[in-house]
Amino acid sequence: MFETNDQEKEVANLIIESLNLEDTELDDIDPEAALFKDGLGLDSIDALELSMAISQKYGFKIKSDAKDNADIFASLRALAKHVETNRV
Amino acid sequence: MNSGKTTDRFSFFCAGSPEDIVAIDNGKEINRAQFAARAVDLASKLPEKSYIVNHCQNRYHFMLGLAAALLKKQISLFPPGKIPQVIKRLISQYPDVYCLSDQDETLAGMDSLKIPEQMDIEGNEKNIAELVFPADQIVAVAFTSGSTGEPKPYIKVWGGYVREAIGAGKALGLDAKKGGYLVATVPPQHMYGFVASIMLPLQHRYVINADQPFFPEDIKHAIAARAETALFVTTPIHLRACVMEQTKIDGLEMILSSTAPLDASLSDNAEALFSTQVQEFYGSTETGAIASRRQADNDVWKTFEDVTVGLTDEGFAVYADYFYQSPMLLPDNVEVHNESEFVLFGRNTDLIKIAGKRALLSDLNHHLLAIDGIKDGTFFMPDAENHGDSGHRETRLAAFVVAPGLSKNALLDQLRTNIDPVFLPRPLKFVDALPRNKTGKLPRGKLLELLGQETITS
Repeated sequence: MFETNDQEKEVANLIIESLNLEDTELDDIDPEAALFKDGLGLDSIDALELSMAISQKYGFKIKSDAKDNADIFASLRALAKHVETNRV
Repeated sequence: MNSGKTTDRFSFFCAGSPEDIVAIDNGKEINRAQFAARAVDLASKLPEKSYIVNHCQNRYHFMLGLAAALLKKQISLFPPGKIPQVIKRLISQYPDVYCLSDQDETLAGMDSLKIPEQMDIEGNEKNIAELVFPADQIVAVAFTSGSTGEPKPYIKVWGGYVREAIGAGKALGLDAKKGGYLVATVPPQHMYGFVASIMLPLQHRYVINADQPFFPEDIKHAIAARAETALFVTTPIHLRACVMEQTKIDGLEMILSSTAPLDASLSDNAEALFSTQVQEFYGSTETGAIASRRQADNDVWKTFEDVTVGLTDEGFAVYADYFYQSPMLLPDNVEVHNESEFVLFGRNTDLIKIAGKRALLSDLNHHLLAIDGIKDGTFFMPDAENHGDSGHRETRLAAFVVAPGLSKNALLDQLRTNIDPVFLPRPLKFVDALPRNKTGKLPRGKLLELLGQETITS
């Protein structure tokens, strides 16, 4: 069981819903672990799905030309922070 | 094989001038004379090997690597993925191989050369004349996954690639005199990426953008990088993201999609959003791209010139005199209308396609059952969920296993070494027993039922 704040819980739920990860429990997600490759084992299709879900729910679009793409998706904690800063 | 008479030779570039722009890389234009001089220079620096894996991510670097390898008569290998087992097998079968890369990360266990910086090399018109190759020069060996875990090799020759690109350009109505600009979201190492984002622009005087934009906003940015309209080479997955996010992209000449058939609703919505035509290619690793269609017209695939199709006792047969071997048999279920028109229908239950990658269910099951501690198990492809206007989300495989004592993570780690990540099961369900019938088969209805049930906790 990991400590997560409300924003992190909300984004974790969005990840579970939008990526068909029904068999993953919120508590299973380590907020500091990599979302892609090792951690949840997400791939590039997931990154696109997640960007669609984020754009619909939070009203902003993910870009990678800021060169911080890897940072944004580094972990649940990083993604939740990015959402908090950019949400409309 | 007959890729034209054996004396036929095809240029790397179609007719044009040394000043024609080949690529735009990070804002810099590279013309034909510069490209040719750099390709000749790179060829002189390549190691003395027979086979090359061109792992360059930058499309311009990939194109330079291709030209240099052709000059040095090295054969490109296109493995069906980069997971450790696949690369290990490739090295054991082709020991005289190395990897050309523009990244620090390379392929595990393979000798590697990082593509050198070549900013100071001046253009040389004379080098363009060196970039002419015999029609029967072997360019590449591409692989598809086989049912026993052994990938099957397919030989590709230069004349075949050139004629495929010319046929593809005619199908799209491209005009080499006019030229154009091309942006692609697919990697050049994929069969579709190779024909549509490397060979097609070379044979039609298109400027390629070296980047591979990913998110809709990145795509928009790449397309806006030049004033001329762009041919946008992409996949249903990226197109769906653009439509879902309603990212309006101006300045498109045409959209080309492949890797999976587009849903008609997604095609219509993309045409409306981008005010341009959406064309699709049908193809395979075995044959390259062979047919096109526009969903807005109808769902019939029309073959490129010099390609014909037919149904034989062995299945769907594709004929072209430029194939290394003709006919090629493909595993898709089709209804052939005549020798140049067909439609896809139903599906081959053993054939799985996800995100442009292809696998056989029998092969995936073979790897699953080979894992220690698995008593029984099967992969399973659920029905696609339709999301209305924007088409369907990429459907993932599920798997059921009887494996008391194995943890989910341990099992996934084992699978990861042998199968491509896009085929990893989601969900992976642990069950007490599989719903086998008296003959040992697994009825689809029973598996669907099982998918809807709660997993047992192990």
